[in-house]
Amino acid sequence: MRTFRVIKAEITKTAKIWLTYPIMIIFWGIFPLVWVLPFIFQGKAFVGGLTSESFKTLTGTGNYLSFVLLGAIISTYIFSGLWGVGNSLREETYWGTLEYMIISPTHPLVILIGKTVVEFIYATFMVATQSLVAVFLLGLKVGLHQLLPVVLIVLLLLVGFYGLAIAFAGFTLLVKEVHGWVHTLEWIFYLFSPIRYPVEVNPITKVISLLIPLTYALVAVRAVILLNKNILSLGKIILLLSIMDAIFLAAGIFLFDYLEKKTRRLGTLAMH
Amino acid sequence: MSFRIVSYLRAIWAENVKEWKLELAYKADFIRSLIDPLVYLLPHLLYGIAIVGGRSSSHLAKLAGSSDIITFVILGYIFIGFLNMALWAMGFSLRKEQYYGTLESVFAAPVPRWVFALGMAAHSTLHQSLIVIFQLVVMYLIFTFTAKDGGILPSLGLIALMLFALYGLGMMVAALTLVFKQGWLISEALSSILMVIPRLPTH
Repeated sequence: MRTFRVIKAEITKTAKIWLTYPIMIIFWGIFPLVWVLPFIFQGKAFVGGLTSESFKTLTGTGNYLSFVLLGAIISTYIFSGLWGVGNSLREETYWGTLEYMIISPTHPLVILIGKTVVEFIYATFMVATQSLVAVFLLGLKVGLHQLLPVVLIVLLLLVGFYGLAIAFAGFTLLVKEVHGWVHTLEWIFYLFSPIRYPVEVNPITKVISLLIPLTYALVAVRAVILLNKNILSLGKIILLLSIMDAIFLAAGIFLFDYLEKKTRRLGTLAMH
Repeated sequence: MSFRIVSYLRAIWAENVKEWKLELAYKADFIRSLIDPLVYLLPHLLYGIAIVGGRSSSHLAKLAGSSDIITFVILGYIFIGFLNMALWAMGFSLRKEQYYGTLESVFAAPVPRWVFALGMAAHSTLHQSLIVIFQLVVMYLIFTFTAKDGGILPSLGLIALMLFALYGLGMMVAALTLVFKQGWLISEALSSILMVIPRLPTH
C-alpha cells in the first residue's frame, strides 16, 4: 500500500513538472511526425507516388508512408523511455533532489517504478496524439479490431525495454553524464532496427537488428496493421518478445540494484 | 584603428581556440560528433535504396536532373549539417556560457558582442567543415560517388554565401534562448521544420 502511495506521489510530482511546460507536451505530440515528413517527401521524389514495388518485395507492403509512420509512433515509447526513465535520476541530480530521494525510507527502485509508470502514461498520451494526426491527416488506416493486438505487442515490447531503461538509470548514478550514451543508444535503434527503413535492405543491419526487441515489435505491429495478419499467426514473435521481457526485466532490476549499491560504496552519489 | 582590428581578430581567434579546447576535453563526445551525422544519414540512404530498388531513380532525374539518389541525399545532408550548426552550436552558445557561469564575464569584456558571435561562428564553421569532410570520405568509401571538378569551386562559393545567412539565424536563436531559457526546444523545432525543405527537390 505504501509502495502505491509512493508511485502515486511520483506521478503527481512529474505531472506537475510537465504541466509547468505545456509546450513540451505539444512538441512531443507532433514533432516525431514532422521528423517523418522528409522520408515521405523523399519517397515521393524517388518513385513518384506513395507506393513502391521494391519496398513491397522487402516488407510485404508497398505503402512506405504507413511503414515510416508506424515506426515513428512506436519508437516514441522507446525514446521517451530512454530519456524519461533512463535519464530520470540524472535529472534529480540537476534539481538537487537525488540525495533526498536516495536517503528516504523508500527503496530507489520503487521510485524508479513510479517514474516508469508516469513515463508510460506520458508516452501513451503522445502516441495517441501522433496516431490521431497520422490517421486523420496523413491517411494511416487502422481498424478497430487491430488495436487490441497492437496494444498487446507494444506492452510486450515495453516490459523488457523498461527493464533496460531501469538498468540504464542505475548506470547514470555511476557514470553521471550520460548524454553521449543515450545518443549512442539512439543511433543503435535508428540504424539497426526498422524504425525508418526496412533493415532487410542491407545484410549487416539485417543480422544486427535480430538482437533488438524493437525489431520484432515493429515487424509484428506492421504485420497486424499493414498486412492484416492475425495475432495468432505471430506466435513465434510473441514468444520471443516474452522471453526477452523476462531476461531484460530481471537483468534490469538486478543491474540497477548492483549499480546503486556500488555508487553508494564508492561515495560518489552526490557528485556531478 | 588597425590596432583595434587586430585586437578583435585576436579575440575571435581566442574564442575559437577556447571552444576547441572545451570540445577536445571530452574526447568521446568529440568522436561522437563526427559519427553522429553518419548514423542519421545512413537510414535515409538505405531507405532510398529500399524504395527505389537501387541507387538510380528515373523520377528523381526528371525532378532534379540527376538520377543518383545517394549523391542527392548526401549533398542535401551536408547543407542540413550547416543548418544544424547554426541552430545548435551557435544558437546555444550564449546559453552554454550561462550554464558555465561565464556569460557576464564575456559580455563585460572590452570587445563588442559581435566579436564574440564571430568567434563562435568561426569555431562552428571549422568544426562543421571537419564533420563534412569526414562524412564525405566515409560515404565515398561506402557508396562511391563522383563530382564534376568544375562544380566544386562554385559549390563552395554558394556554401559560403549560405553561411552568412546562417550566422544571422544562429545569432537570432542565441538571443531567443536567452529570453526563453528552454533553448533546445527552439533549436529543435526550427531544425525540424527547416530540415523538411533542403533535402528535397522543390517541384
